[in-house]
Amino acid sequence: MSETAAPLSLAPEPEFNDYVALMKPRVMRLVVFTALAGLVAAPVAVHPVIAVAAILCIAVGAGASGALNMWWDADIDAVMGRTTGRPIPAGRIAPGEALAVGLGLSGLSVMLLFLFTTPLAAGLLAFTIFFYAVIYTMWLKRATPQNIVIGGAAGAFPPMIGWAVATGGIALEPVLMFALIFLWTPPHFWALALARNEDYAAARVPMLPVVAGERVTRRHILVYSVLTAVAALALAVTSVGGPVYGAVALLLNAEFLRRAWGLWGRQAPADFGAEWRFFAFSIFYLFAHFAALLIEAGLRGAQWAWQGWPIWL
Amino acid sequence: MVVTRESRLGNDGHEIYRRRGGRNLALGACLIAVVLMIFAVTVVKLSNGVTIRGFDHTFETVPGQLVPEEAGQ
Repeated sequence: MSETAAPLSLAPEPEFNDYVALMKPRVMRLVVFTALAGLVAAPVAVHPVIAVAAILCIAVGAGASGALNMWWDADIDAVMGRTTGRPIPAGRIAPGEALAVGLGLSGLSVMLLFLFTTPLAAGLLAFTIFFYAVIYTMWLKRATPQNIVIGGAAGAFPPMIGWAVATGGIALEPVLMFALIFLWTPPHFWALALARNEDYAAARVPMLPVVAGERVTRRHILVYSVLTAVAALALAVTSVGGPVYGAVALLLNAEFLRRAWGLWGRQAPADFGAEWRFFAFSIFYLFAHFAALLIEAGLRGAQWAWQGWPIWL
Repeated sequence: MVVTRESRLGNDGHEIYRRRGGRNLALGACLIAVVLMIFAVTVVKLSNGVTIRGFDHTFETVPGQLVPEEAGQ
């Protein structure tokens, strides 16, 4: 260290919490939950230690892709009100350090998942990180109003990775779980984008409401909500479904569609309360579906599953 | 202006060292957790009968001559 007036405060001095924030803990929570559901719902039992280690690897991999996203997006994060407090635009972590954290943890998580579990699971995790950081963040997010649709695929992979951890392969059930998250993402984010339109416009991110207007966005929300409901209800009649999941899916999808219909009917509202509530409800909706899948897996494990439940798919 | 070591320690030094210390402790805990995780997975995999002895470490001179019953033990 120099003895002269090297300004100590210029280089950011991150705290541990800043590294945590860099990994998008709220997204990570959803990833952990859905990956666990995919892992537990699979027909092959996984040793608890391996399961915990695998879920940790998937979570860290997802966090690493979040860090890469924040590194690339620091310029627009600084413009949008919702994201100005993120570690890089707030000046608490240097961009280069975020890049190093993202790349380092990506490599580590994929390598460890490969050693702990199956090549397919590790391959899927690597592809997910690449998809989110490069295809979504660097390429499509700023290029097309369908950014959210394609970016949703990255968030939809975790249950498939969980399934691959257990079985080493892929089946219809994880594909439907993928479809559920994939189709759920656009209405979820477009509701947020409607309420936060000025933010995205200021940052020149071509979100659908910015490019195509409110009418088109509301119609898109409705269409994707219907498709989401189809995927959610189809899961009920596969081997991972059951009465609990079926009941949860029936109730929540009715409510989801009712709210999407309500959003569709609104025109230039004075406030965006309904859009915010739709956004919040959609988070609960997804959590509840995967919680129901976990409960079904628990019931099957305890031999309490109802044998008469129809498995049509 | 020259900042001496003493003045740095005396003024803003304490705060920044405390933060660094907290961060380093947390990072250290993460590293230990990773080591423990790898160790736990290793123990589980070995006790589940993962191949411990590779075929390049046998007394056989011709690879593949180890009988399956023995390899399975």
